[in-house]
Amino acid sequence: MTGSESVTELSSVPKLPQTKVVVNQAWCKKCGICIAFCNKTVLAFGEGNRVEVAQPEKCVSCGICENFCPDYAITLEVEEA
Amino acid sequence: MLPEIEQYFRLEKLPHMWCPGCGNGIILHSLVKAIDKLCLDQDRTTMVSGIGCAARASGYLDFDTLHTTHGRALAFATGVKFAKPELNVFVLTGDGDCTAIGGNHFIHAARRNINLTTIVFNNNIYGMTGGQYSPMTPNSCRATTSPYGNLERPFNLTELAIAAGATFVARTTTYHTKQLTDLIIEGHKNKGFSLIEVITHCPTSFGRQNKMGTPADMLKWQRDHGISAMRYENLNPEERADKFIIGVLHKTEAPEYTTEYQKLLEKLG
Repeated sequence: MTGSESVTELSSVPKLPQTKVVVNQAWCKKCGICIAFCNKTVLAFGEGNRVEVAQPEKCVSCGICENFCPDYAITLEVEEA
Repeated sequence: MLPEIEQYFRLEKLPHMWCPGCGNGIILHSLVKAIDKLCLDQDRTTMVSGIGCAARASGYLDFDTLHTTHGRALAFATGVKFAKPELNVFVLTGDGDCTAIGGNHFIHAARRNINLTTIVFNNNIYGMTGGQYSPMTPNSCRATTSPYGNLERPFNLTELAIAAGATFVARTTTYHTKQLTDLIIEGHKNKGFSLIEVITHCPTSFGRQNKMGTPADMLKWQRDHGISAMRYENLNPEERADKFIIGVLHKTEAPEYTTEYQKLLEKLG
């Protein structure tokens, strides 16, 4: 068996559904927990410390921001294919 | 909006009054996730709370809720459970509410082993009244009433509950949200008094006075200091000094109060 045969074909790995990070600005208190814990620097402080989805293309839908947000202001919305 | 928030919260009360970055919101999120997984009937579930930041929780939840007097959450919950043993009763209380003002109610609820799930939001301080030290403030930590550091030693709440007779005792932090949900589920399934101590962070009153940084820094502190019993065993005493064990700490079986009372009623006819 050669090495290349043991490599899993990437297309066979099930993918998480594509999601969109939505910030409810009316509930957000700008505490910065989501920004500090996002491993992919998707979120960032914008003008007036508004939490903005700065780099949505980097999101891997891990859900850490949604899980840690104490104000339930972040939702991962599943995008329709 | 998250479906569990939409279903179990009084949406007109949101956003809640807790400070930016407060851990209480994370605990409530884990609690409603646990209730969702347990498939509890919303009309047969009661939330009882006392006074303080943590006790505001009952007002945001869409169940039958009781916001009671200071320290008396467990006393009211005992009454609810005793009158209607078929209800699922959760007690949401803070560290000051539970261990200082309600200390006696706490040990006696544990002693009776009444079927309640008690979640203690331990933020180490009286946050709402301006940051006075509580019986759970660690030694040498600053509070507005201990500007040179706290002279007193804190309670070990979990050991107190075990000594008093609780049949399920666990501890976790707001960083370990998945574990928190699992512990609430396990605590609810226990037929008897269940205590889940949740180490939460108070960035405004405790963190600021003790220079603990941002809310995210305080969550990282919990991640680094809360460890499993197995990891704790392998540490030397020096390394153990600032660490605490998370997970199930005690689990046993004992006669449950309301069940025993029903038996007595049947016996007397």
